[in-house]
Amino acid sequence: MTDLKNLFEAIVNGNLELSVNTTRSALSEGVDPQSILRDYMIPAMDKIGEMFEKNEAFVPELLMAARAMKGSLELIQPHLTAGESESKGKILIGTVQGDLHDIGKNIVGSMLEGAGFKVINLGNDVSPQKFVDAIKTYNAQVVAMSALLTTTMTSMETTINAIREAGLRNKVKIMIGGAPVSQQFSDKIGADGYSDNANGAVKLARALVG
Amino acid sequence: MKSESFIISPRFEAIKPTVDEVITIMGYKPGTEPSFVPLLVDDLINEAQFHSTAKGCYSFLKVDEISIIHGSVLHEKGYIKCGPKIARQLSGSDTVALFLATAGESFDEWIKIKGSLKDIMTEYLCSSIGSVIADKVADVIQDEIKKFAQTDGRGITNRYSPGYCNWDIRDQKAIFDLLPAGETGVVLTPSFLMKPIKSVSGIIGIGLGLQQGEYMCDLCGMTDCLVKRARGK
Repeated sequence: MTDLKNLFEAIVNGNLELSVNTTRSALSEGVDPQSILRDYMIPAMDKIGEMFEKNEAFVPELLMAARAMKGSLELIQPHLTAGESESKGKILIGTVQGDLHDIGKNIVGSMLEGAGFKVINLGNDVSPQKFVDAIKTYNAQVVAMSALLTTTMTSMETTINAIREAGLRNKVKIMIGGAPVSQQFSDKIGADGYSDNANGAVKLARALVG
Repeated sequence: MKSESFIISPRFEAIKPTVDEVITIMGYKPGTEPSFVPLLVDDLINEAQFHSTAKGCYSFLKVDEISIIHGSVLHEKGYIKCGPKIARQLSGSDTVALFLATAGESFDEWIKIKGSLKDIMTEYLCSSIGSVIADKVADVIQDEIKKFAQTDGRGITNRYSPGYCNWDIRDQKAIFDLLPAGETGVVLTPSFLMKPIKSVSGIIGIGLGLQQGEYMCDLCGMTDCLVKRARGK
């Protein structure tokens, strides 16, 4: 009988091999896949996220945990029923026009994938029109924008305006992040939420898609 | 008084990051990191030497006046806005040195290649190594400036960069206007972002009685700085 506490620990410790092997073993024993996901995998990601927010873990541990989570998710998903197997939502993520910083946004994207979202990474220096086009193409529920400079964060507002002018504002939730932005700025430009870290971004995305 | 500019192309050995330096900018206190991190970082530092095209430049400007109230340095060729916090730190300088340091364009390309392989961990570690390299090029420049100052008994301040300590990043243009940035391959984009990204610019004060101090994290208002976290600030 597989001890699923090992799966929880494997994800928290970023052990991909143990995570995948434990998941495979549990599935072969007929353990309910929804229970594996709900009772062990998601709590494990919540745990590493909490540790990150308390400075007990840092970006490398987050990424390793997300990788282990993703490995197990790939095994779980074919076993879920049609309704259960749908991703939590589709998120477009990109660094706004004028800004070339990539890595913070990629880390957030990786964490969102680990949390079960389908993530479409638009890259950096993404124009407002490209965000608008991508919303139409991918039928996304959430747009996540990143900026690392005070000089580029203004592109977030420009992008939100472009989304509004395209008649798409009510179809997507918009979240923002990056060193210079704040909740106050988020409110000012009409975004739906802000997070200052990758774990917070996952929580925010979950809250936004309801 | 020197007025010309100086270009440096340090050997990799002179700017090679240590594992501890890299893990510190990720937020760890050395010794608290998971065991896989230093192993990966060490391998990547060794690989980094083939991708670093580090360069730097600096020049000196005679100071006419430093105004803390206006947050500016009036110098022989004009003025630089740096904000009151930094102007205060530069007080007592008779000269300022402006500098620019970069890990180089090919280093940015290397990070992009790692990113394109969807290996975000490696991309992140390479990015952290690049940040340390750019900073170590700035260390080499700072040492040269210090030696120059010491020839006539002067000292130097810490170095300060736009984007920190309330120094508006747009003021970076004034630094670029006064340096031979083209010689280092660094350009400033219309949004005042340096390209290559792994680059750092800034200012150092020179004057009698000036001393470098410990890095004063409290001076900087950044709340999400990982180095601050590692220092327990």
